[in-house]
Amino acid sequence: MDAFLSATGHILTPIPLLWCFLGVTLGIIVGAIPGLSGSMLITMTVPLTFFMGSSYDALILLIAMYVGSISGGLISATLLRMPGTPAAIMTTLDGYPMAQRGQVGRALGLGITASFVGGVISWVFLIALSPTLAVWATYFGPWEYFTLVLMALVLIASLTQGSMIKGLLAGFLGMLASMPGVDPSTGMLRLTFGFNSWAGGFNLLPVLLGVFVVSQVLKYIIDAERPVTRIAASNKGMFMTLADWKRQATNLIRSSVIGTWIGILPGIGASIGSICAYTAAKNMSKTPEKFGTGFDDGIVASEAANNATIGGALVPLVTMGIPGSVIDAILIGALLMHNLQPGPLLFVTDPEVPYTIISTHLIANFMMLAVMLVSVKWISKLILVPTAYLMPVILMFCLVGAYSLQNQPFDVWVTLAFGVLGFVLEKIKVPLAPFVIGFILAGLAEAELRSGLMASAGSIEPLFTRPISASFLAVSLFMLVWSFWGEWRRSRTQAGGAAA
Amino acid sequence: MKSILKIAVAATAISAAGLATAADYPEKPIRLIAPFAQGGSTSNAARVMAKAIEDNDLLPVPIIISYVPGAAGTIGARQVKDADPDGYSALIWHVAANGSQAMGNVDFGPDDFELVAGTDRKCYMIVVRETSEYQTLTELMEAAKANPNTIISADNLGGANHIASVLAEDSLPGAAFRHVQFGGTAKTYPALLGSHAEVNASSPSALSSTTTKGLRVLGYMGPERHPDYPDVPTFKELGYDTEFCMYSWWFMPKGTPADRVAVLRDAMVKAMDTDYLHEQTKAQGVEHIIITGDELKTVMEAEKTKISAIGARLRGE
Amino acid sequence: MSDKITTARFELFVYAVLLCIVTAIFWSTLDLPTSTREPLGSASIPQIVSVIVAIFCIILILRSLRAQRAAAAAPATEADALQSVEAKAPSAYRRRTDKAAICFGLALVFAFALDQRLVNAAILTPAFLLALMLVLQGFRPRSILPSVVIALLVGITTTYVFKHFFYIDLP
Repeated sequence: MDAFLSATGHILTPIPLLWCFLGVTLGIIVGAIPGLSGSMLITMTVPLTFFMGSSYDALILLIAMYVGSISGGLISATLLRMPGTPAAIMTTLDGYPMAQRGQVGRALGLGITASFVGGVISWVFLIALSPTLAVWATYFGPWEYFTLVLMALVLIASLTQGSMIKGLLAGFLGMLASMPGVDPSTGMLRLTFGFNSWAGGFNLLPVLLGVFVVSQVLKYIIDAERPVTRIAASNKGMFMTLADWKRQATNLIRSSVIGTWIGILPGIGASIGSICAYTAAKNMSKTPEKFGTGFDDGIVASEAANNATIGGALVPLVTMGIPGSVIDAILIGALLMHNLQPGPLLFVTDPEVPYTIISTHLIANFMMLAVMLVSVKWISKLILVPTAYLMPVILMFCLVGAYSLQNQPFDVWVTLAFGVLGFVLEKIKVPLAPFVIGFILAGLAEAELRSGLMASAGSIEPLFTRPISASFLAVSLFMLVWSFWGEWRRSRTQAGGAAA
Repeated sequence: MKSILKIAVAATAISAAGLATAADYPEKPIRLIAPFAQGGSTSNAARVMAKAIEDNDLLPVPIIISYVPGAAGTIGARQVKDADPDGYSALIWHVAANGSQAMGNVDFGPDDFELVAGTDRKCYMIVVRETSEYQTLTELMEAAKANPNTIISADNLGGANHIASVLAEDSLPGAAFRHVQFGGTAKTYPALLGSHAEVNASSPSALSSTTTKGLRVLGYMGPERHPDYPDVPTFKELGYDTEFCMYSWWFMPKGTPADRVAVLRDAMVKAMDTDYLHEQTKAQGVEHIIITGDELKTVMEAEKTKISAIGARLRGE
Repeated sequence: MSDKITTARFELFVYAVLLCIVTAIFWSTLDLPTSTREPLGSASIPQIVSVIVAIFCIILILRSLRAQRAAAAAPATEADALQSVEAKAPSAYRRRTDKAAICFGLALVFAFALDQRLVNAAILTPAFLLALMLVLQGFRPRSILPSVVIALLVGITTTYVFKHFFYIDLP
């Protein structure tokens, strides 16, 4: 508790508050611009945080960006019918029709308020669960970590939209990409194909810059001439009335809890959370036919849930060092680069770090609410910046940023190569999120498995005899079988439909 | 220590005289490669040294640090090895300079550089969990001899804590730990606390950075007792003839003119005497020393012999 | 329709390339030493993962071939109709794959120049930015002046900040 208070106290001083404000505002703007996403912004910011002096301030900035970027997506979803970030995809379904009807202010207001409530509810879970879970996770050994990572990989592959096989392919490709260089277990070199520059492997940040930034820039350039019509923002009717609050209370709480829970599950994040909450709201509604026509409940469910996933996803990050979403994976990379090993021990050795993350999450939500309510009109003007100026600057920053990480031109080539890979994979509808999660978790999974084998003198028995690892294993197997079965059934009904 | 200083002062005088001929060096910033991520202890040592030299005008040019992390430092080291030997490239590295060669990961080692100096001594200590059944080092070593290959040592295979742990078991013939990969302090500490491992070799600075809460220190692998742990016996006191200390090694590319190497070395020797460096090394829990000249050669040779002797075991063969 | 077939061919091509890559990876792990500490060693996990990737690639190749054959046999399935509706909406604009390719080519040139330290970064970055902007704008005379100004401003500031403030070793 002391650590929580001192961390919060630190954030409430002028300079951290400034970073928090900067992060939220930048996050909202980037989140609102279609084609730019929170992952891009955070990946490009990480190298710069080394020059900030305090790693706490770096964390504050990054978490604030996370909160801002997921929230900002609703602006373009409502005004352009394009999700500014993937997380806001469900918001387009009801936000845009409502805005078209002329209730622009109301659509934005509902989205903003729901985002805020979702954020705060998930924060309650975050602070309530984390310290307890961290104590529990201290007793995790190699087998527990290995099965946990396995579960994360299966979850993300099976819950991404589209083909399960493509999801799994992406995950395993990511694992493969992480393997050249120093073996995470014994420190031997492997898969370097004789190139000295490969000895360090492909580093996380250049890979992420490639997969998330270069590939998206290329895609954006291709689609640059897509015609868009923008609805002008308005402040009218932005504040929810008491009647609105009453009507939405259940929906708000349900969607936030769903979002938080999806967030906690390792590997999957905001887009899936918002889809699940939207579907749940629709299924439980008395008027499901109204969804998709500019209905209040649709906006509220989607936005409450996607913001709630942030708090949820931070739970496995601060307690176990396992990413709850793709952005969390980048945050873990950032923590490691700042010499902080995320995991249960963080609560013992540097309790200020997890509590800085937790407090920033809450404060950033309040700041998001204020910034959005006050300035949504101005921000909405920024969402159509001329790409011809913006994209070159982003591409250049991304390449120079990759170079500056370790003063190595090799990283620039890695960025470009993974940019092409990301572009190609997306083109053939292989999802990128499992790729990134696989890339990050493979080393951990391999190291933990082999540590376990070393400790047990080569026996895999503990995998089944240790209760926690056995249950994680059971869940993974169940998920795998269940989703394959689901896919098989789907393909059969499709084939049946085609034959008929 | 005193004699080293005297030699250093003499060396300074000589190089000052030589300055007339070598006056054109250094005329541009010296690029120092720290082959690790920022914030690590070796990177910190580099930063502190560069700052001490710059703040006290010990060199007419600044030292610019490039952090080139990866593969136990071999990536950055290779850059310096292949750099022009013009005195404008330098490297700070540690025991991995010998370790990586012994592991067979690279085909170069300390011999492929000009050795400038060694600084910051950190001797390792053997720790167990506070609730462990082993109260003394002797109990632990005898148990490792009675049941070889069962007591789990949490190591970073091929790294300094692994080397230290292997040297420790070697000090009692027949004793052997089971070496299991966990990683650096951030991983070995929870492994000990969570009873996934029994023993770990750790440096005093790593211990002080995580806090020794929940751990018991059994033995110290330095030549005499550590001032911060006066109650912990050394291995030698208990009759185990072994020692393992880690140094920061400062290198320049092979073939760098001796007078240019001397310019950097002299600046470092003078920097060692500044209050700033005194405070910083103390804060980081390392011993404040600089070794040069013949002593440097002896210490480096000793490290090399020790590590190449256990090379096959480090590789797990 | 033709667009669909090119996509399918492209998909097959990608899986084939992936198969080649995993074969190379598998082959290169064969001479890695085994470990005495545990049964897996450095080689096993890359081998297992590359076999799995290979299996997935083969399944996806078969699937895609089957879908192509089905599409050729019965061109108007329900799924097809659905997809063509999806395809119609965005196809109202021109896809600028050409521009993306040119930009990527420029990025390769930029990376090469950085790698070989050919040009001072203070010249290289603005030039890179300007080239990209002109490609994206399609050399419209009205946009040249602002492009030059933005490229110079952003390029030189970035180089200065990275070199002298962050101490990055740019050429």
